[in-house]
Amino acid sequence: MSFDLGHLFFAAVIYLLVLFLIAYATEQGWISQRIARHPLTYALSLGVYATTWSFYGSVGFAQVQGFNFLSIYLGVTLAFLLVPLLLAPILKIVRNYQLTSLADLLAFRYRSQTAGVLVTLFMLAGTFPYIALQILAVTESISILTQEAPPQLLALGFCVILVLFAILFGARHITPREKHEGLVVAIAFESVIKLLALCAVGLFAMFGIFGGVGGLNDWIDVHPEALEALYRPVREGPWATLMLLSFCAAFLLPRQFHMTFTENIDERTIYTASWAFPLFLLLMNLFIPVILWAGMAVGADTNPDFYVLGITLVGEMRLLTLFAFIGGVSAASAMMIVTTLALANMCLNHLLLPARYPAPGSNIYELLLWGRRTLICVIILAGYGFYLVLERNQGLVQLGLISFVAVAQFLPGIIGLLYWSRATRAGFIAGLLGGGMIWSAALMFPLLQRSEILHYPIDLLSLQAPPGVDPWTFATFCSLGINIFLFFAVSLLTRPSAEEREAADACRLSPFAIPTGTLLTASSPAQFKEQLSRILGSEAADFEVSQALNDLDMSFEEKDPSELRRLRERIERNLSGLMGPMLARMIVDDRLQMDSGARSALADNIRFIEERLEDSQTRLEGVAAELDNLRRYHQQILSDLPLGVCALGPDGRVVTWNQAMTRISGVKRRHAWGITIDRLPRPWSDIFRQCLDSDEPHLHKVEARLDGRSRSFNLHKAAIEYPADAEQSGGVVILVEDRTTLQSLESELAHSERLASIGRLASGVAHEIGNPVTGIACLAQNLETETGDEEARITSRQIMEQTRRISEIVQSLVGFSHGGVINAHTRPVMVGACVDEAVRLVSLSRGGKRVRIFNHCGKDLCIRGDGTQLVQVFVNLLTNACDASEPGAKVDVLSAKDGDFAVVDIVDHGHGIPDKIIDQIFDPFVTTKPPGRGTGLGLSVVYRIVQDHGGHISIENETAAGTRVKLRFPTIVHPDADKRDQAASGG
Amino acid sequence: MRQQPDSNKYLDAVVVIFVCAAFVFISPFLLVWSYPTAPWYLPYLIWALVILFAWLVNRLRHRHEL
Repeated sequence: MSFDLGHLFFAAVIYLLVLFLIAYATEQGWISQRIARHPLTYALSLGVYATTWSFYGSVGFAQVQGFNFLSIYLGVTLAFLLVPLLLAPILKIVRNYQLTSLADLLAFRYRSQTAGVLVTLFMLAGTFPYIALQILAVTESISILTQEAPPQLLALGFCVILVLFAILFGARHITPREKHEGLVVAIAFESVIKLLALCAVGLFAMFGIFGGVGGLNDWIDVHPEALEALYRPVREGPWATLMLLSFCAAFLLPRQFHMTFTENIDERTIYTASWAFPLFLLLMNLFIPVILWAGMAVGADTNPDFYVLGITLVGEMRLLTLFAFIGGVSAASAMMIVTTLALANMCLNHLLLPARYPAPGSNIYELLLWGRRTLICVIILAGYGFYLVLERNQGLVQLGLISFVAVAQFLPGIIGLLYWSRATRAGFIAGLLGGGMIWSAALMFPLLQRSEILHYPIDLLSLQAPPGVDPWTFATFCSLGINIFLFFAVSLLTRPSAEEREAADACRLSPFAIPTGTLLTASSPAQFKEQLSRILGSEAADFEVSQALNDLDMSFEEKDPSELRRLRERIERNLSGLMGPMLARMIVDDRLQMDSGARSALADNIRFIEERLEDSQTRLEGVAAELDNLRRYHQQILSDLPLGVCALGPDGRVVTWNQAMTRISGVKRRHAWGITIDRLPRPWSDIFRQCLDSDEPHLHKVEARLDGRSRSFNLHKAAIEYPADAEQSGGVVILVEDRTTLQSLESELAHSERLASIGRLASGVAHEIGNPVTGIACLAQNLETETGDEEARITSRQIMEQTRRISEIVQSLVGFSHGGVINAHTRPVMVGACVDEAVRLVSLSRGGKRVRIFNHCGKDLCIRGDGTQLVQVFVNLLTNACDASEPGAKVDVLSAKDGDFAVVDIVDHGHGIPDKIIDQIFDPFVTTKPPGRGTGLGLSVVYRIVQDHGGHISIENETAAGTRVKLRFPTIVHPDADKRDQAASGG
Repeated sequence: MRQQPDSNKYLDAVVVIFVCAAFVFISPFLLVWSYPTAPWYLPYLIWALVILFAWLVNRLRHRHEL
């Protein structure tokens, strides 16, 4: 059975078109996001690990090395078991700092462009054999199916198509930072096709060739050497070496790094991959021994590497053979596309851009995009070139293992990134160079020599394994051993720079890596744009600054230094995703310079640490967690204190502003935080300045006007000792006590005391005066009745008139001193009726006759009290109103209900009360009337009576003219209210 | 005071699974299961068990997350 070349090529192209359509459909939203973002889709996309080596080469590997072929996948399983400790931290760093490749990651950690260049070059050197392997596998498979040597142009055509698809998959958009959901779904689909194809061939082998499980067991029983051939190499071969190599390859191969980290959309999906990806690999390899034995059983005339096709050809299964071929194409194309995208990123960021940065006036995004497309083309064609010169009889596995040993050289660097902050760039570079040289000598040069690419004196540079030592084990442990030794030794002999230490802290996700320094060249987002436009061009600078502001939800008018520092950091991260961390750092360091020596404000550091602790609270453990809980507890105590607390750091900026302080001042914490007291709103800036400038630790009764009211505060200050350094000032803490309410109560109490003392005085005076006045009145009366002298009678009558007047004054004093004590028999009293009675009494006086008094009180207002005293209240108030009014003026008595209170207003339009005495108008003997016209006790009596009725009285001058007296009494429901209501309603 | 989510159990389980798997696959213990007359599917069974434990550990992580 054979196939037509054209048909096979057509089938391959159609398959690739289907892949592209799937990717396109995903990006257009035709395929649901639930599928695109599903954890299993992500896990399947990692199946790009299984290339043609797995699809075809595993069978050949199993034939030579038995179950050692499984070690290539078991090492991956071990790596993915360590997701939370190894892969998830790397993912977090990559996402946080927008790193797009392993070269970016290592260049970021070791702060070295050289490191980035070396990693890129080493990765290229290690990957070309792997790309060549894929092309070789596809052309070999075509050769087997067509039973003729494929033309050279076929491989070139395949590469050209892959260039096109790689560009369409991963370099189509203007903004290269976007993640490619379409690529992820397409690669996941490819993994499914590979898996189904291999399983289909396996099932055919099991049931089509052996006739079922029983037939397989029978065959094994007849050929026990087949089973032994599987197990013996495990005990004798490079099992451990291969496990180690595949452990490293699981996340360090360019395609694995790209799919695992760069294209990861949701961090949580990596945890599902910890079991789902190994499960995929298990299913992929489940039938390998069966396929091997089936090939041996039927005597397939292909290389064992291609038994997958061989047994289906023997079985004349045309569709299955085509499906298997498509599976092989799938494996090759996925690997080449993803690897090329990953390598293109690295080459762009670490080789091309550092060598030739675009001029500021150019459109940087277009240039980056076309740069990436060009690199994709160059890399695939370079892989094709390597394929052309490669020795044809290289096993697929050999080429793959060369790449595995190459990427294993990055393992020490990764260990330093995650766990050893003491690692330096010199140590990393030394280790990489040492390991790389051993790798070249042991593996690469012999390969080139066998392919006759390099000749003499290459022998001198090759490193041969000693007799009896497995060459892979030798190459791996020599290269890695030298690498690790140099990495640790040189790191310990050199000191990390400040930059490296900062990067080490960032990679260890340390919550306490406090950013330091102040911006020198830009103090606003507008200035950021201006500075960056000199390198990026105005359009790109505008976009980058706007993007960063949007990411941080920050305003364009932001001026706060700590916020601008965050903006700078964000811009650097975004640029890192565009052009790599080193260039991003160079641009930002050059255009947005910082004075790193300047100490940042304590307030900023505290806020930074608190924010980081909030973020990291789920990761703190042990003593750190306990300390954090204690910190929060003490913070809560300060926050909940009933006194206002304002602490200033050594730089005079606010570092503490608790809830009570916010309540007292009306200034929110986030507005007060980090600013000096002079920038606080008035009067607080003045109050705190007064406190700080005073030599006294306590300031009492500090008056301030707030919201139109007079407020009174006590302030207490104390110096803070800096815990780490006793000689350094830690700042000042100020406690603010709001005594406004207390002051008001004190005034009320003083007033009541004053009234009480006057009352006692009045009582005594009245008692003393009463008797002599009575005596004088009697004598005057006697004189009137006993004398015949008319003049004497007139005089006696005048004497009696004056004594009557004295008696009235004495009665007023007695009434005032008795405090208007409510009659013991209080009863419900209708306010309206009391006002009516008072109006009637006042109208009898001379003043009352001149003025018109209107009672607008509601008839249903009822309070509990002494009706007589209430009438007296209204009589006094109406009398004052009439005295203050012009003849013919009107006085109104109004009422209203305010909840459970009755409000009665007496409004006149007279001359009002002078401002200078209105605050003391209820004090005894205070009067606006001329001497002899009033005792000045009327309002004092009214005040006392109202207080005793549980009410409140206030006086204010009306805006136009006159006075309003406002009375407020608690109301009750009249006991007969129901009867009155019923009578009124006729019910 | 707020209670910390208990992620320690999850990490402990991860380490235990890893150590056990490494012990089975890398240490001399592999001589125990890689004897010549062992069933051909034995490594796959062991592998599947490891994957099963990884799945169970992942469920433990979900239980402790909000």
